[in-house]
Amino acid sequence: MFRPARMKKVKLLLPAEQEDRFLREVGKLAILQVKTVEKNLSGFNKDVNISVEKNGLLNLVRRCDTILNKLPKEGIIAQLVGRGVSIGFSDEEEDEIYADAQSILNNAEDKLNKLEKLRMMKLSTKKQLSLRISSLLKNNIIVLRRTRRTDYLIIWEGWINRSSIDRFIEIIPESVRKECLVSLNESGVLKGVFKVKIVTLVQNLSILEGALSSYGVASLSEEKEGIETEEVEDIEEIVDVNSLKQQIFLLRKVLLKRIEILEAKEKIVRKGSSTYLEGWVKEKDLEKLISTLKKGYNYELSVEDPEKWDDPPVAFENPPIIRSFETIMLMFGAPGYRQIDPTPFLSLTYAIFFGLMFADVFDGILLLTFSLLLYRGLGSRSHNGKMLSEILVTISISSIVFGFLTGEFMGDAIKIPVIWFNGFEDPMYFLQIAILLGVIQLTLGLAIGFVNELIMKRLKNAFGEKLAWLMILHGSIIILLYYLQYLNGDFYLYSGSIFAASGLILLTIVNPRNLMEVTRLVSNVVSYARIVAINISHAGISRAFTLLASPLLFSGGVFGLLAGGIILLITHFFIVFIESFIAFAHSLRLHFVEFFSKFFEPTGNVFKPLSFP
Amino acid sequence: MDVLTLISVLSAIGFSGVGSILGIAMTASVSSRMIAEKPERFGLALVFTVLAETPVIYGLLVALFLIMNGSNVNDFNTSISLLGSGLSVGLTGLFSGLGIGIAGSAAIGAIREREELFGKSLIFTVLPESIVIYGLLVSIVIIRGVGLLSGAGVPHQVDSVSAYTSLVSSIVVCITGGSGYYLGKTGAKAISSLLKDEDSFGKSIVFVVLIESIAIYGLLVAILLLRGVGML
Repeated sequence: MFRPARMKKVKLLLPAEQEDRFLREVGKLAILQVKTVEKNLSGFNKDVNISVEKNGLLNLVRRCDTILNKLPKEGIIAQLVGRGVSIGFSDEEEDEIYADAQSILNNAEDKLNKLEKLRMMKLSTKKQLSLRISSLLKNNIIVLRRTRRTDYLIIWEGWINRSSIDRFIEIIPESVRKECLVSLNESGVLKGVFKVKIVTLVQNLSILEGALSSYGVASLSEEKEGIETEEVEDIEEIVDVNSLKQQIFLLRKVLLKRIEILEAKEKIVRKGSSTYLEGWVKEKDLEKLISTLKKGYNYELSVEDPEKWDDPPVAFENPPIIRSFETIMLMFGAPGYRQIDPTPFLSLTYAIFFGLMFADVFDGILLLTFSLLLYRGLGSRSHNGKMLSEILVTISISSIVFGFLTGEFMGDAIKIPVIWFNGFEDPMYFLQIAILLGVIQLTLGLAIGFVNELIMKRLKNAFGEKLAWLMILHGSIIILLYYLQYLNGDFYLYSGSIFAASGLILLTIVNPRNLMEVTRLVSNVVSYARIVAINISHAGISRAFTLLASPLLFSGGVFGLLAGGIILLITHFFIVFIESFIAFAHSLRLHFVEFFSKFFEPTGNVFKPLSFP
Repeated sequence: MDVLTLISVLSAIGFSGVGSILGIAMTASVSSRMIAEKPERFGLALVFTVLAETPVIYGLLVALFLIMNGSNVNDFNTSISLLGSGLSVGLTGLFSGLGIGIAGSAAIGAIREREELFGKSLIFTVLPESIVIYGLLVSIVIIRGVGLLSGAGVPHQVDSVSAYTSLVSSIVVCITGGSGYYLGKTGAKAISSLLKDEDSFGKSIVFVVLIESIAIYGLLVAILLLRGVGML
């Protein structure tokens, strides 16, 4: 858990015809990372045609991406919380899709062109229509079109100029005027133009139509428009966007798998009918590899421990509950193979810091609900989305816990007992806690650094830097506590001074340049005060919004209670949105800037086995 | 509410508001250009724009506290202390907003090229945001120190030494908070160097944090000053 998984270097000789089968099989198990064969083995060569084939496939993937980009997309909310469709396929289906790749793409591009044409057509029809209407209106001609006809009624809709209104009423013959309903509304778009609507009985149709056509009323032919709409709908039916999208997704997945195999093949060397490959396998997966090979392969396998000069990839072995925090660490970089994996420490302190900054039971529950929705939606679509939502679930639970401990529920809107302390009421105590947490984390960082240096046998760095810093940090804290009168007795002053001074001397002897960084240690410690500030700002904003809603809440009526509750709910959505960003980002900062700078050397490469889930 | 408290409200919301306006304007203009090309990165761009909004939210928070309890203030020394609280969150908010705007727009530019740079460029954008948090911390300490945060919101009797010390400590935080602007500028340069070499992160953060440490020293001095007069 605290160290990356132990790796073994494997060297494998296979008959060339079994190469493809082998790569596919280990890909399904996701246990082997093929590495480039560096040594020059006599007679063994790389196949240059593979990169040509790979480039061809990359081109196809690019075409897929272009098509997917052009297809209509879902809204942002649907992308985040809408469930994704998982697409799986068998080997036979894969081969079939791969063989049809060109025709699938051509077909899709064809459909896309149709869709584009359709859009243009719709646009131009609309544009032509509006141009025609406005030119007619300019000439004081009333524009009408029959929009609906039921068994008894006929409805016309249209546009009319202000100056033509009187004339329009005159147009309607006396005999049918009583059976006509006319409504006029000012059109918001054009000045001086009114929208007009006439409703009349079916038996009046012929009289009214005759009258309208003889008095300078342009009738937009209903039939013609109708036909156009039908055509448009027809094309829309031809292009079924969803199935097209799914088809291209599937093709893209197949192509990416092929590319991954080809990338592995690029690293392999061949001679006649034999294939030689090297790779990394986790020690615990070695059995799986051997049992796969025993299933009908003619192989020669050698397994070695990594040498000093080797740089094996790092694979982390953390329990599921903290695995997602590896993503946060990997934003900074991967630790080297021989270093300590800081994920367990990071997951604990990250959750604590976030919980303290975002301590509120209600806001925590809101965030938890959102995280669970995200887990269901984005989590089912991508690996990173899954990791992010898992992190959010963990830290929102932490904020609920700290909300209970600090007695925050919607700020102070709902009173709950304070179990530990309330940051808003007692910021000074909170400040001490925050600084203490900072000192603990810095100590942890330096201790991990010390162990890392010992593992890598860099004793000078271990004692002259990490240990010296530890002594300076704790010596100064003892002196500070003495001056702040938390510790009484000169013993503490002397021991603290000796501790800090010996640290300084050690640091100066080993690397005097490091003395420049003494002030950085001070700023590192004080930097943890941000936990207090962010917590207070969260609690303060909540209290301010409670004050806004309280006149309504205590107005006595049910309506007031409801309105106040809605205001509180909306404002807390806002708080969760803004403050969770801030707390997340500043927890990240405390880890990247303060914690990681004490030990982390992002020199590792992450283990990426051939993997086709 | 007396004139000094009113000026305090004005500086809390006004200065931080200007900072946020500039910050949002810078990040939003780059964001809208990016989402025209890559609409799927809308969420990432939004993070930086929201960060630029935080200074004004903190300014608003302090302003609201001052408005809600300001009517009880009729003592000159208390008003001087409160002026300090408004100034400290306002001016640090201004510098912070500027810094976030500069670094944030560089960060959005970087994630337009490479999405995986999000985490690292977020750190460079959060650095200038720290400045307003320090300002807010000092503001809250002062507001609490004069007794406006606890109980009925009736201020304590503040002596003139405490009042002027509060003002001076907030000015210290404001002046050192000027580093927010330069944090943004160096952060933007560091983000663009990330595009060339992602491994430069660990080293460039050391340089950028050096500037931020000035603000932290300012905060430290302010806290010690306030503790010295019993405000903390």
